[in-house]
Amino acid sequence: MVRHNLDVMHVEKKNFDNIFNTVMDINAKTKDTANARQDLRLICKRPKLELVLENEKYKKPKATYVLNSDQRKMVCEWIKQLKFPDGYVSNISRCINVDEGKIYRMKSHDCHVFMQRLIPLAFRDMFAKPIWGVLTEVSLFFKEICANAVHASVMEHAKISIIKTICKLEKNFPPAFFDSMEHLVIHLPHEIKVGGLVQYRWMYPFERCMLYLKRKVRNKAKVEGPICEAYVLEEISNFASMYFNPCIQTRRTQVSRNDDRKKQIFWNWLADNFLKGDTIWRVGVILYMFDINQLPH
Amino acid sequence: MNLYGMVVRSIQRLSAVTQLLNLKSEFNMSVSCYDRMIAIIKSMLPESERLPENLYRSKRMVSELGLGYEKIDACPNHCMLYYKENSDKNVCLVCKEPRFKPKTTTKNKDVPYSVLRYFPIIPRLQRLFMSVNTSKYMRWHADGVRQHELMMTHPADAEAWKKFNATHPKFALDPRNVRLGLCTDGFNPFSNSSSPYSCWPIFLTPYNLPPSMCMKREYIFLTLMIPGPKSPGKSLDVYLQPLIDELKILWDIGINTFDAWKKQNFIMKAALMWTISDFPAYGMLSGWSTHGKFACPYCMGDIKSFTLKSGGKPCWFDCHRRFLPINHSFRCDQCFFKKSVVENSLPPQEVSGIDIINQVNQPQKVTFGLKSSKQKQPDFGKTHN
Repeated sequence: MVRHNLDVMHVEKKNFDNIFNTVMDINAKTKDTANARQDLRLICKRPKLELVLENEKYKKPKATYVLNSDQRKMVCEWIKQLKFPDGYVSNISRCINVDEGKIYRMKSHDCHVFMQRLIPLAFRDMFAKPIWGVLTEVSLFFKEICANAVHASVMEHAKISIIKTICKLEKNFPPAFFDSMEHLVIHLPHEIKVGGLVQYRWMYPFERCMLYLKRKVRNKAKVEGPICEAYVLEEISNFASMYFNPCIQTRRTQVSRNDDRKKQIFWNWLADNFLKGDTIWRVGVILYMFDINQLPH
Repeated sequence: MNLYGMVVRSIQRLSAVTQLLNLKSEFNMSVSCYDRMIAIIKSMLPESERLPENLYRSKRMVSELGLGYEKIDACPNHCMLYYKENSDKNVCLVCKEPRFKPKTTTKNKDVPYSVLRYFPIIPRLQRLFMSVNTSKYMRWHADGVRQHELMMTHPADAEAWKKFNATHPKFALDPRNVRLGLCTDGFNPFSNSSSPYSCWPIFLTPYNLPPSMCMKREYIFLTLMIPGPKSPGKSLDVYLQPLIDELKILWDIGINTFDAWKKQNFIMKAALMWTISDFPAYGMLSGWSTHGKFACPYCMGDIKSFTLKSGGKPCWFDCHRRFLPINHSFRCDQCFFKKSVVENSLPPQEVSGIDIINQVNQPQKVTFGLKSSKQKQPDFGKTHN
């Protein structure tokens, strides 16, 4: 039994922050500090990374897992020009400061997308293969556990593979990089196998709920009372809206911004005409001819 | 030109009011905005109209539909609730803080320092069964059609749920019995960190629903609103009392409920499956401190984490080789992990359910509250934090 759930949303966000800040060497946020290098001298055998005394000042030698300023700029420029489908993620390019090579104000969902989709692409050719490989493995692991349909055997497999991945991270990154969040990752596959999909056990819906509660505060001197009054009213209106005339638009009946119904009609027509018998290849040809984005709207 | 055509449709008064209130609540309209809108609508209606003239009247009209909430006074230092046998006390039993603010000349009413607002969960669950729209979906977890047969798409497909059904066959017999999840987190209602204030709502959500409805906003019930401005910390348990009492009734006895889909009465029972929270709140709910080097609630006392000398922070470096198979090459690696260390130990033992019950059944005396002195349990810093 799972009594208390580790929240995948927060674990993923903290992991992403750790990796990204260290790799991009963001001041005051990176885990690869002078202190970290001193600890490294005590714990590990990595002479190349130890602090060097130069002109009576300690210097931090460049590590293989940190990007140099040109590379950082390239990554930032690449993120700046990224475009995503509508509703997939917020506009990440807003969070980038290309001149300083900084990224800030990322929301946890932005981190979620960056972790799962962009990390393998962003750092390709920037690092030597072992480091890029391990970052990609972490990214793929999170993609795997956040799937909306999971087979128990896949989780058994993920359980073993994530241990190896973390060990590989340990081989490359300094000890200070590993805080409790990095450790909790290895318990996640077990929880999914026992408790079920992460979508039912993570905080995203509740955080969203709290945003709605927060918006209800108008009188800043009294917070809880108005929230509760407004919540009771919302319950009433939600319940009553089940009995409304269907033509009245409410939150329940709202149509999403990108309504695919027209597209669906086209797909159905396509399926009716071409998907019969052994003419499947024709559909392939048609798909090749049409760019999917240029389908009739 | 006339605004109306020839015939004026008949509209129920209640329906008009609920639609307007729905609009208000959806867009967080202010009270004065609502009142002004009503005034405009009223001026357009024929003279014999009977629309309530302001928000107050409208709310009075639908108040019967609402389920309301209870107010329970609390100690501002989170020591205790003025609840049940303590409901008539005037001073906190732990920190001696008074319950009410000093009376002023203008107001002759007792005003408490801190109030817990409690939304009873039983009527809310009953309402789910009252409407056909929701009550037919409350059995989905047992007989719903899954899109992928062999895959997990709902918590009901996973081990914990099946094990629960096997251990409590009576409960599992009726698919209408509710399984709940509890979630808590703090938030700052002022959206800027310069004015620190931490509100702790506690949510309950039923897992019986199909994936398209489960965890949606309408089906996440706010049950407790823990007052700020400081986070209750480990005294969270104090505030859970009324909720636990109600959940006990739902588990032991059950509540007679009308099912609108089957048109029959049945005894509804409910079980709390698990809690959902971020890592600091995990510590508050589970009682296992998630700070320091004993943070991991799975490994518990059996850890390899240590505190860094220069960094001063707990570190989990080289704690993961022990999870590898015993003959893995990484285990003998003396170069890349800790200096000349070969890992031979096995992963920590999983704690069984019986052990947990034994631990929980030996409660240690704890005094709650922000002002209570730090009580260190025996073996502090050796097996736990």
